[in-house]
Amino acid sequence: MKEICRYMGMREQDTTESFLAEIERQLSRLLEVSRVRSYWEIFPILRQGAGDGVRFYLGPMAVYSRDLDRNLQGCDQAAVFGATLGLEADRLIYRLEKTALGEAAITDACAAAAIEAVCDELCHGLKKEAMVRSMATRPRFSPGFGDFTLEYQPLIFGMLQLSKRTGISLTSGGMMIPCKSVTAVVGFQREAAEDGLPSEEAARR
Amino acid sequence: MMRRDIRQYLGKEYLFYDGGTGTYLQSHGLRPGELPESWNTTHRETMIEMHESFLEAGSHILLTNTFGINAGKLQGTGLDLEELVSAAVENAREAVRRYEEKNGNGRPLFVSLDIGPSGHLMKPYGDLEFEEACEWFRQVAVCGERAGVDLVTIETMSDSYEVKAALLAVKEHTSLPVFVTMVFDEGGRLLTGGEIPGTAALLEGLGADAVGLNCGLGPYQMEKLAEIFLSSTSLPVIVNPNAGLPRTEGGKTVYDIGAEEFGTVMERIGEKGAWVLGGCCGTTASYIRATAERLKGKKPVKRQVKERTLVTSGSGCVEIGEDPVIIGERINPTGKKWLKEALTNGDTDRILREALKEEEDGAHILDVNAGLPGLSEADKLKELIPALQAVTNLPLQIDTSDAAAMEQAVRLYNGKPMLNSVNGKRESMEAIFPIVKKYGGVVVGLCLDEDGIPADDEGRIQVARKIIDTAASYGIEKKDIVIDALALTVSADAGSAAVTLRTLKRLKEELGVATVLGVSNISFGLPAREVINAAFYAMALQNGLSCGIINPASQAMRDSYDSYRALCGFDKNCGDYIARNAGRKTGGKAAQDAAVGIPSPESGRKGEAFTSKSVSREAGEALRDAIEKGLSKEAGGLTETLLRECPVLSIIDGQLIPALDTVGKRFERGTLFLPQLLMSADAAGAAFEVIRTHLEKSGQVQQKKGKIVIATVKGDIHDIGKNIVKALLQNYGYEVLDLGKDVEPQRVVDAVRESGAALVGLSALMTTTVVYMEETIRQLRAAVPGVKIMVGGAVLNPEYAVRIGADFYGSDAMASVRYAEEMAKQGVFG
Repeated sequence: MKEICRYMGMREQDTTESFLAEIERQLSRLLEVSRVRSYWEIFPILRQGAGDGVRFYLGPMAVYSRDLDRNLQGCDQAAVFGATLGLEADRLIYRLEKTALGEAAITDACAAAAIEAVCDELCHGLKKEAMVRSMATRPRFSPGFGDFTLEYQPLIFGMLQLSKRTGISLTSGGMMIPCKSVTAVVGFQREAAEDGLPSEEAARR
Repeated sequence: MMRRDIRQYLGKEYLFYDGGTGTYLQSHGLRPGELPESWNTTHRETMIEMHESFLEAGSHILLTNTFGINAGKLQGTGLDLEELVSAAVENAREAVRRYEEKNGNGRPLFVSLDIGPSGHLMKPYGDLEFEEACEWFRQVAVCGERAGVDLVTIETMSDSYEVKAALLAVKEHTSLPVFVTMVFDEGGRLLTGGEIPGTAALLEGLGADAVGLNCGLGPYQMEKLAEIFLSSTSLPVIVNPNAGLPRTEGGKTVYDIGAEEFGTVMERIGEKGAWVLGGCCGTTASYIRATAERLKGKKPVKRQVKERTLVTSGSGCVEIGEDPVIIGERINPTGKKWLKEALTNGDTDRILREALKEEEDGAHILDVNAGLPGLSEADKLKELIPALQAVTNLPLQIDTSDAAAMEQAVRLYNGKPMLNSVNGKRESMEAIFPIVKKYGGVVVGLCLDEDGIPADDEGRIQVARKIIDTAASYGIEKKDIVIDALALTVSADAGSAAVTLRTLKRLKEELGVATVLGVSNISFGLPAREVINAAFYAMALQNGLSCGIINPASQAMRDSYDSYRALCGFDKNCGDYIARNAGRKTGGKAAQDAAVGIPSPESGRKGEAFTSKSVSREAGEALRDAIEKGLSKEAGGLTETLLRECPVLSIIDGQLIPALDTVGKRFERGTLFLPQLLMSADAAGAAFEVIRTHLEKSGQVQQKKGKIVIATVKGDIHDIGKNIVKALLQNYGYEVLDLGKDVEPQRVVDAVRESGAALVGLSALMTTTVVYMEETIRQLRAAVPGVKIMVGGAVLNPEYAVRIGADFYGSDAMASVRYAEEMAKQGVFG
């Protein structure tokens, strides 16, 4: 609830009881129609052969990004994932925009919070996956953060066959559809757990 | 070379596809990220060996290595589409030649062009235009036919709209047989939401020669889905599963089922009635061998499929059968002033709201008629249909007497629509049936012909027979026809209702065909039409009416429908009836008041009733309160009350605008937030809607403050911000021309010129699209120098706005309103 309010630019204490009830109503309708899909795979990080601006290879993908490199310091593999609430969520919001803008704005905020929650859960699963290998995970890092630009999106889509597996597709302009979708890289590191390097939240701000 | 026609072999023996191409290539060194199709020219021998290995295993059909070839995917790769397709076909042909040289030509072998998805999502949610998709698929199909394939397989499709584009492209530009397989999830749904029965009906309608499933699931999961497919279509069914479900092992994808186990399940699927079997991801030659060996010497099973009349949309499907269906009649401009205006002014949103209202009121299919003198019906339908399909899953009935408009509309339609209508005239049938045959659809046949409307039921039955027989000669089945028995004004001919009812009964019993009626026609010229409509509707249902075209908002019609279903056993435990009517007050003033949302004395103001003297003051206060709190229903009801006592202007200036101002100020002060502001805007919108209806009824026109054109610029598909600005501007009395999202600069210029708007609002969310905003402003300045331009959106700030040439930067929606008000004060709007 706190997150949803944050996406609407409010604090929870700014709301009234009836408004919170309205959020609840929109949220449950959204969750009813959403069809969450996600897919991930783990790729090795290879630093040999890098050069010419290439900092490392993440599976087949040559990475030039300094910020992702920093995020993946100390990692020799990383999970790459895509997750979405499905086209139904987009459709619901679009439909509400035509009939009840207020509800559309609330649902939009609910959806933003929901996809983040999906990612949190997915990362929690990855953390467990890492623990099995006696490793820890780094905070997730998405294309669009810092110099890890949206140009990496098509490569990630190719590596994971995301369109087929999750129904997320890319427009020619590099935007993801459904809108409430996330792709990200989660580093697996040998020692220490998550440290003071920039988290996803910090990067967004 | 003479092509072997694979259709002649279907059902005579089991036919086997090959297995996964990607799987084979990866095991032969294809690197992740490398385009598999590039191997057609760089690794020819490997490709030929792959094909041969499947032929050795028992495959009849080889898929060319062309899955990922289309103009969209090849963009920027420097690879040549025709060269890759030709090489792929030659490789498969060479494998066939080598195999037959070694083994003789004992069994028929076929080379199929493989067409996979475009990789883009179609509009309105994605960015790929329907016709562009058709063009991409056409290029591949034409190259494939030229290179000598025997058939086309469209596979791994997960969007019914995209598959329609692919299937149309192949059918229009080649003469090849077409097989189609799609990806369903375990629940039997496509990624875009469609289910198997509706999808099968769509593919059948578009003329696929065999249909089925591939990829996504293993054989166990597909077994269940195959059964649904087998009971949903009379076409041959194809099943090509993966080698089980995937999991990652050491960073690689592996599948959980071995060849022998695969073969066992595939044998069962074959014995259930699937005639064409093969494999997808993870399946190697040994999987195909295991399947082929188990079914060796067995004959494919013939099956009986129940005929069903299905109408579909992108993700919805409605069966027209015993349980009656409601077709909403409201989107038809005949006799509706508001709709005529909305069509003329391009106010699509108003039409969409009406459609959603019909859906809410319980319609199953929506009739869409855009026939208006002076407007191009084809253009209007092409605009309306995608817009409607973006907001509702209900299938549509395309209602036009213009065959050319019907063809353009049905082409663009996502799904298998209802087509209204054909009649018994030779000219009509010659124009309409080819459209139905080509695109698929359920066509409404009117019981009239060159001799007019037969006066008795026998005459109408004869016309119906003629329509059904002629349709059959075009290859259109009876299940795709719904006959309109024709309801005529009973006040003009006392016997007409009885003729209609007898016709309905005989159509059902003697012809076994589904039926439809425009029910309300019965009451033209009579008072209290709803009363007689509802009675006639119940009688028609009793006589076998499958679908009534009615106003679903009419309580009386709804009552007939709900009661009929409850009484005739279609409503289990009367569940729907109870859900609709529990707690309902019938008769008296309470019911009428409840219908318009007027607070009753008990509700809210303890014991303090609205007396006629205090009503305007009380209701005015309550209206302001409702808007401030964002209560749409209450705001609408209270406005109705006020309209009985006060002039329109005093409501707008005295209540609505002050309430909006209060909310706007709180928003600007930060004590109230965007969603609350919007809920208030919605409530004010509801009040304005009531006022608009009131004015239309009394023939008055609401004065507008000025015209404003708004658009989200080219490249940008996020337009909630623009929609918010629009709603607020409308509330403040401006006429807003909304051009939508992803709008070309030229369109903005044209719209400003044509409408004479004095102010333009542009929005952009992405840094990548601000360049188009700048370009739009540049073109506007050149073409319409006097126009004022305001901009907004997440990536902008005041300085940037000035730099790209805008007059004003709105940091939020209220700021845009304030700017418009300021411009109005300065007389910009004239």
